[in-house]
Amino acid sequence: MRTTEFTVVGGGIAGLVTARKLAMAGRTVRLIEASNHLGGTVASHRVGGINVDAGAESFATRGNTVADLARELGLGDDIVSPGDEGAWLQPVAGAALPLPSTGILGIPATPLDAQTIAVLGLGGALRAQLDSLIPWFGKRTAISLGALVRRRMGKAVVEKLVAPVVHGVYSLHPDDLPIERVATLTERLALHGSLAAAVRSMREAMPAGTAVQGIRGGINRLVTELAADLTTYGVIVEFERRIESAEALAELDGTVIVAAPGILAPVRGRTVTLATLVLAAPELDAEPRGSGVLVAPGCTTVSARALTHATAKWQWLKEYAEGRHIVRLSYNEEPANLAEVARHDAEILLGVSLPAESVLDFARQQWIRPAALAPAERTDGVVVVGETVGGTGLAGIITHANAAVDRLLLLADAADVETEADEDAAAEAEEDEEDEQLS
Amino acid sequence: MTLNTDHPLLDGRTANSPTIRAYWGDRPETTPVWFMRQAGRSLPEYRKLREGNEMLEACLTPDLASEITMQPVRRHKVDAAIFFSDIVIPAKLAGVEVEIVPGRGPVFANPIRTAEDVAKLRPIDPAAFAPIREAVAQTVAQLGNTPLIGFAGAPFTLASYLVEGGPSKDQQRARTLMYSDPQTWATLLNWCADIAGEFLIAQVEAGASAVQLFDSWVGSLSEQQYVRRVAPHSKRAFSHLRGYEVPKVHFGVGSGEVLQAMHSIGADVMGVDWRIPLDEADRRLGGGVPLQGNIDPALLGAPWHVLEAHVRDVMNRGRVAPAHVVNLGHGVGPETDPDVLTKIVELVHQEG
Repeated sequence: MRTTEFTVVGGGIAGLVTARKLAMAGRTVRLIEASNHLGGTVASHRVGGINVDAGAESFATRGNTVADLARELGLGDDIVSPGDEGAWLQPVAGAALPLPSTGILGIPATPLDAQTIAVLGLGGALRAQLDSLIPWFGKRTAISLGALVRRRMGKAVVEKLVAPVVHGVYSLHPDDLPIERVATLTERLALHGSLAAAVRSMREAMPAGTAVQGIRGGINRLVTELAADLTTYGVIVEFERRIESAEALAELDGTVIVAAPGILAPVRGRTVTLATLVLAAPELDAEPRGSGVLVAPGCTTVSARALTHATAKWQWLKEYAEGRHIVRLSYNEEPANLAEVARHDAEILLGVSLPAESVLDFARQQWIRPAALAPAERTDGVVVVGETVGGTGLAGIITHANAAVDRLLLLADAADVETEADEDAAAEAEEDEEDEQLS
Repeated sequence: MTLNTDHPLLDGRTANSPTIRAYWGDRPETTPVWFMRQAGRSLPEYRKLREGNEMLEACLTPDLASEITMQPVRRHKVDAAIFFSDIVIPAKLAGVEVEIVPGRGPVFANPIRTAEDVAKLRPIDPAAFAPIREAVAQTVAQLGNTPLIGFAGAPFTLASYLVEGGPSKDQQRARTLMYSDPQTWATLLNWCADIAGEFLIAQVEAGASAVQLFDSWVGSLSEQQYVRRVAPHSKRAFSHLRGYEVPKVHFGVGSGEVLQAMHSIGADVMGVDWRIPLDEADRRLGGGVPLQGNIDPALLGAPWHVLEAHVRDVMNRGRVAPAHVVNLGHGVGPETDPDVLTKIVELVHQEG
């Protein structure tokens, strides 16, 4: 039995990707997971007799990171794009409106187009248009996306457009999202001088097709395949072992990679509650809200933050559901009687009547989205991967983990060369000794 | 682990034999030749010896296995002996119920199809290989300078038998499991790799000078399937031999699409079937890999002048490789006239 060269703590997507890549490079790897299953927030649950994603249900196409991994895992033929129906917006008051389709994270590319005016009102749209006249002097201090948009396009854009979208993507208010997290935004802003122009150039730079994709059968298939690869490449997986603290890491073998929150620092983060409903509602066949609805903060008619019409968004799921509809609602704070609140919210957000008997099945799932580790919480020499350092979303987490493994392997290869050199030197010394004895 | 100093490779018996030199890429003066399944049904002396002996019992009876391995060496004057055994022997020794049904092949009482089935498979106790070690030792003692090649079925082919419950046309159940339950598939192939690896170790430690991993069914896989779901396990089987400096031959039937991938798992020599000529195999491998093969077994029944021209063509094409061991592109069939094999050996040796 070879000694363990690497111990990965945490069997979420970052831990799995890390362990797999190390093992494929021929390293001996052990993975420790606190629960009795792998995958973390990439999970599935059975609702209405169908296995559907219980956590992540799509991935950003940016950089092709996730698609490349899916292809490596033999899932390349099953990568799917969502339907081209856009999303809708539920404003604070009034009926839902289509989300302007040309923006990014809700930031309008053309503030004076009809869709944007419909959401912002003419006054708000004109204020947003001022962005093209305000000079950009560069960023002097750390600034959030919310503050930036508020300064350049006004409060209405932040509250009515950006906040609902950013919350849907990052589970964050834009005031809590550093602009660095929005890939290339600062650079493009510097180049083009206005936010709308930066957004337009980002749209142009985007590959043809959608910003997100999914996998037929669910994103959770990544975990099935990654787990199989761990077996294939001989990774030893230890379940139901919880590493409580940074001190406990010292007891582990080889180089330790932390791929779970709550070890270097207590878990801080937001709780997201998801309610999945399976509905018998023929009125939804028309997909009245496209792929779903984002809710503006401050809207009091519903408690949900967003609704995804999953069977409208994913053709494969529509086939699996055989005429039924699947919608998923997300909540920042779990309401009492989630099932009933979710049914009521779905009714309002989708604009159709959903009597209790139309709900065929319901499932609840709760996740903690851990906040980023503060620099002070990083322990020198401890390699960390995952959401606390790699950002929100599979693309960011996987890119980060891949880079971390590349660095680890470089170091390990260099160490091997050193060891070999030492061994060679020792062998030579031994030979010299033998020669002496012979002579 | 390393070889004992009295191993034929280390005590001067086989290290300079044409076969071993060719396997290491050092082309000998005379091209060596042996035949897959040379020990077996084509020989009347084999059929006589097997009378009243069940196939797998014969494999596990050292005197019989050793004698059967020796028969073709005496008769044809081939340059290597291939250990007489069966792909399912390690599975049987690990406690899996299997018998060889004449005319059909290995049949498993309980096919392995679910995670539960796989969980019941136990690791093999190396002591179970005692009859194999004994048979190899007896054989090597008689072989002198002729090397013995150890043998094991590759994980995919062995797993296919286990999942299908016996031979099958296109390994469909096995390939379905590969997708429907990749975790169970990986666990099963790891088990197969480990028993195959231990089987090889037993033969090498007892005196085999080279090994060959057979992947008979690899032709039913796409390259992508092979690379992702199979190759890492074949690599694992070979990796058991870490430390033992013996040449490793890798052979698959229908392997044209995956030749490179099969080589990259740690094989020193590539066995090539009859479907692609050796110069094409060399091209696909990027050059530099010793080759073994690839007389079309179908031509064994053809008029001698046809077969002779084919053998010469095989040898000529094999000259692009650093070294070449002549063999068939698949096993000797039961109907083969053994005299034809003897004539091929004479021709190859005479051609040089």
